[in-house]
Amino acid sequence: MVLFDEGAQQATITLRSLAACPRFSLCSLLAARLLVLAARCSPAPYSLHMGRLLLSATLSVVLVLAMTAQRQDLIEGPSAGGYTRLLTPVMAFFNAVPLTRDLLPDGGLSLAIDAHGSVYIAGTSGDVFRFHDKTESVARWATLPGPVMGMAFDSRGAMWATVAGVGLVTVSPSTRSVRRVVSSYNNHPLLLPIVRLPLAGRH
Amino acid sequence: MRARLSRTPSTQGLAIDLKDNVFFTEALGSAQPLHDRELLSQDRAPPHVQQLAQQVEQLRNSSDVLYELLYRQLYSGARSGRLLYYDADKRHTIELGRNLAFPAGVALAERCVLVCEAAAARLVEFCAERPPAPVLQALPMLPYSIHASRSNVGYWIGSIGTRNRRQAAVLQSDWLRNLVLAIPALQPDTSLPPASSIFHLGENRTVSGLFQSNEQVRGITAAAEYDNKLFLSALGNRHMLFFPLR
Repeated sequence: MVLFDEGAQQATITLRSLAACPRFSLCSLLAARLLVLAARCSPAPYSLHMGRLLLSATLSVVLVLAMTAQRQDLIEGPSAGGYTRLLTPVMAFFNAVPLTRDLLPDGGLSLAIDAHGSVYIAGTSGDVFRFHDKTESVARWATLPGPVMGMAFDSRGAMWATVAGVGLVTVSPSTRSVRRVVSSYNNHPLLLPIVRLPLAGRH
Repeated sequence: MRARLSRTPSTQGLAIDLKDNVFFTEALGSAQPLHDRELLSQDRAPPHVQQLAQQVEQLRNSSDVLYELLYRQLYSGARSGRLLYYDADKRHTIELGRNLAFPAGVALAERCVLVCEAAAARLVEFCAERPPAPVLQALPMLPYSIHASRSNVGYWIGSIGTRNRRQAAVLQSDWLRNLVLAIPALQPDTSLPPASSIFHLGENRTVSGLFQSNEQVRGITAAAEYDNKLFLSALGNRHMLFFPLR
């Protein structure tokens, strides 16, 4: 399998700082300023008074919504007194480079690295491909009986994999034979198809 | 018209300790995107996918809404996932945790197990001496995979997408999800986002970096480090990806 190698070394990471809470600060200041202005207004005709009242109420709602909005760039983590919201320290952008040609027609589901540095990737077809980083070669290594959701290696070099609709399987490093290890728990099968549509459940 | 997603389990992430004991998760549904109509219509799809495709096709005429939703992405937001443990010596399985919201990724820490709850957008820690506790919560993405850093200084966590409030609310509730399925105007956007993010979690359980991918990477399912390179697999990409860390 031929590799894409051009441009691999040109991958760049561009760092930028994450702006700190601009929306909260701006909304708070704006709403507070306008509320003060509305309060300072002299007596006015009824319609104008109602207009100011409506404006004040609207801005108050905006302020409340802004303060209670769930920030998408915040991460909650533990602190001494419980949970606190933390700004993510750095936002970086990266350009991931394709390392192989199309291997998985339906996308990659899992990836693992063995003790020798070989990288394994698998998808819904069950095919597991092994990539040698030093020789930059890739080949089909094994075929598992379903979508491979997770992979890992034990101390003897055997691959373990969670296969959707099947359960937990192992792959022998020498013969590459697949053995099903766990397919049910407490008589609760792990081997059902991924999804069964509720045709009978609709009404 | 009412409809609901079925409850069928599927094994997801796994991790192995030094004694070759296996920690793995079970979740309902799959984050597998069913966008490739050509794949589903061909014989090369696995049998259960072909069966699913046939059932999906039956819905085409009866419910376009459900058809489109199921065709894109399928996973359950209900807290019905479990963390399981396979004892390699005794050769039996025990349950370590339950009520997890699509636990897709597992990693091991000292005397603890870290689990990514993708649908709940959080990372939970299961330790021997104390009850499960969230390490990170309200994440801005849906964490799908967690891999220990090769240099043993933390973990890489990949996300299949970003979370929005409407999607999170829908995924948390069975009845709300059914309601959304019934009303086209309320449908959440379940398509894969044009870019995904990964972040590094340090040993002290703090986030030391958040990385946003370019638009070619869609739905990161795994991120593993070796030799100062970060290798990636993604739902929306047919090839293996990488980028140099230094």
